[in-house]
Amino acid sequence: MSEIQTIQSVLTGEKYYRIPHDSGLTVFVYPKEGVRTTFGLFGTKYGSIDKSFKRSDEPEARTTPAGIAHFLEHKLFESEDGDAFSRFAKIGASSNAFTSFETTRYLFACTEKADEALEILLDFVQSPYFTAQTVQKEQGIIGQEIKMYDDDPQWRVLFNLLRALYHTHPIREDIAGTVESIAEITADHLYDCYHTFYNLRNMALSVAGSCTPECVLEICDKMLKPSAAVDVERAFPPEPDTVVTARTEERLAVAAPLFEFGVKAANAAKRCSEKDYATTEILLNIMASDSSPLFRRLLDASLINEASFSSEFFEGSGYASVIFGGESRDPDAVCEAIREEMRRLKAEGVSEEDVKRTAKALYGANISGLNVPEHLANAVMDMEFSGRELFRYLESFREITAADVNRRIAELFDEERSAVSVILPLEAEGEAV
Amino acid sequence: MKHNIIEKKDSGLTAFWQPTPQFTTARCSVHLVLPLESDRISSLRATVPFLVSRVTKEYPDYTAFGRYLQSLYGASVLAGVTRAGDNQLLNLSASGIANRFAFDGEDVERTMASLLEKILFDPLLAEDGHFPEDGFIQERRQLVETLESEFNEKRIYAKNRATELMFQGEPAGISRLGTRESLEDIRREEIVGAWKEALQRAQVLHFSFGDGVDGSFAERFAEQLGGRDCAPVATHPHTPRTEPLRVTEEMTLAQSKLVMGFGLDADQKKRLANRMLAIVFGGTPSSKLFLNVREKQSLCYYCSAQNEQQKNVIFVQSGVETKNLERAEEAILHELREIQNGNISDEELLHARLAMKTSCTAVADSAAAMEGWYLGGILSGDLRTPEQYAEEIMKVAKEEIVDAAQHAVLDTVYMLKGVSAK
Repeated sequence: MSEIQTIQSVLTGEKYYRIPHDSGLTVFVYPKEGVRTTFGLFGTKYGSIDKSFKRSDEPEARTTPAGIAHFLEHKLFESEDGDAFSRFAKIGASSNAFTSFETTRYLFACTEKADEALEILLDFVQSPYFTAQTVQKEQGIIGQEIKMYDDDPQWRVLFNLLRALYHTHPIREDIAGTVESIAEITADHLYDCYHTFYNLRNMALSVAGSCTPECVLEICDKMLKPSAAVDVERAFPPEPDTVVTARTEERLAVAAPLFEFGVKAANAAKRCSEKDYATTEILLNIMASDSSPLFRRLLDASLINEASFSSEFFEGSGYASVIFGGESRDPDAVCEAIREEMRRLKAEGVSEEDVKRTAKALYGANISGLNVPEHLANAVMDMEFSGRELFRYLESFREITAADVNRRIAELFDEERSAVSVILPLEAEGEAV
Repeated sequence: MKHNIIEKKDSGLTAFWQPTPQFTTARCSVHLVLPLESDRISSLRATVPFLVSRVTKEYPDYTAFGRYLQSLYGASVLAGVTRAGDNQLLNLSASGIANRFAFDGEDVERTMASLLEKILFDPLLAEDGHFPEDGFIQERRQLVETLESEFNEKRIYAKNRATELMFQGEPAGISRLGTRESLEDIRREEIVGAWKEALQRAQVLHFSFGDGVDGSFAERFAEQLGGRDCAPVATHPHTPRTEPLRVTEEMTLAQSKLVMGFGLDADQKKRLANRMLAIVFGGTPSSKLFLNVREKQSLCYYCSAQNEQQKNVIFVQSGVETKNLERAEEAILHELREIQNGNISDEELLHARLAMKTSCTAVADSAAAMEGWYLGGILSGDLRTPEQYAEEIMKVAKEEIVDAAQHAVLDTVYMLKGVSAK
């Protein structure tokens, strides 16, 4: 009998359940009273960065073509006798899936027959079916997906930055792979990677909204198939602390330039704690939110706009960077202002008042996210896969001091490890608006 | 879902409110609805929501106002401009956490409601009686940059171009923000007039959601508005062309975009059938466009249909290889012919009905969805609850969808043709 653990937030009164299921799967159930939607998410810790890996029952690590995790996401919806979309559609549920650098997730949303929807979700993700013919068909569709992103300046500016920051880490490769790398993918590759990463011990299920732990557990008991006692380790080539290049540029059909400026963190082997993550968010908010002095200087100088200027802590397995980005007529001037602000913060630090006010704002932003079943299911799974817990993260905002933020400034802000990526208009088309 | 709507005809106000103890958030918003008239007037009015909400009399400094909102648990005040049918909507919203999560005991909900009123009715003006110069310069620039940003996103750009072409000569063909030129042409001294005119002429839609909301939020808002003589909110359905308008433009892109606009039968009674046509045609992963054009023919990653109800049209959007543009157009038309010929299976019909039912039932789970639902309903004079709508959509027969398809007329074909860099 699987044990149901209750995870409760003292500060907010919110709670969810964590169930280490006997099959090896970690199950989360986050009921929300008064909500009609049930959102289910079945995810594996297998993303685009897992090109090389070592199984615990094999002596050597293996390397696979880029784009398999994403290719599998497309193919799992098909089975010998039809596709999962139509099974969900028959009961009025919608379904989708997505692949990130770190994970692949399959989802459904429905307002009735949630038990059936959950059964379909658990069934189709556990029932791989690939043939040479269906693999070939998917190469055309994914090829168009890749080309769509080739024209997406936001996507290009980020990947160009990651290629400038990282020498060897697979974070520098496109999530879907390339038209060439997906052409190498065979049904055998898909089966091999499926049987490695879709082991329940490497997966999590998260159900939120209209649901109870008892119902979810009953369906899990019925549907989950035993997995082999195999563990998988991610294998990354060594990544130097230096950047590849300090600047990269590309021209696309855009009306005005876009940029991203990143600072690579050293020693990113270990995922950071809830408190360090929240502290970094406070730091970036104090430094670059729309109530920061830096933002105001750049706005008044007509160098950024409110809709696009942003900052984020981009952190995962074996990589961590702080990234600032947006649209600007003069990206180099913006990056210089960011560097200057980094120097100022290193010299002067932040005040307790700024930390308290910003922590309150970020606490509020996180509370706002607790409305939506889709967000809740994803949030608890994100936390699980990165070794963190949602309420510890949420409650840490009340504990963080200026000394904590100043420590992060010292750890993260090293100009030597910064790079900028710029997308410029094509000379003939820049004035097309 | 209970239907809390107050109509104040002499104030030109329609208000919707809903207590939402199930949510962690509260939200108040207002939409000023005005007819689209010209690029210049669009630009002039578009600056209004951004200028009034940039600062307040209490917090005349942009950064200080931002810090005040941060201290209210990251409450947000947002401005926007959208198009609905033949109208321009000036949108303002104030949202934050529900009071029970405020650990220092603040009344975030009432503060937000009152902030929204101050912003709209009593904004900060400079000594000369106009909006402050620095705010005007920054907000006008940022609106130009919004147009540039929409050009950067080719899916959005192609859809905007197709809309503009399809509705040429109609108010809906006028951009909600105007053009770069019309934005650059407006002067600061004109904005106060545009603000006053909007308050005097616009139909006003007010929404409030939160733990403790009731009709009093809307009543107070109506008092502030007072008696007014508003411009009527109307949208004329699009009259389909006899010959389709075909426009192809070239750009340096890896992937081409295809947008096709179809005119529909204007009979109001056929609205539900038209909506169901869009769902069966290309509204879900069980639709004909997804299953055939994407899955069977591998022509594209996305190929979908949406019904713009007020203008009574369907748009189909897809991203395809340049060499496959004509093939994709033919494949999309083929799927429409299939429906016109009555080829809708019982399964397809059931899937479409259930998809609509689920999306209607889920409206109550989000303040934004409720607001979107009733905003559309008020503007099109259709005040059914999502549940009533779902019940009626479940009764739409296959024959009605076939009939709707038979009245669908190809009106506009816009191709954004990707070419290699020269």
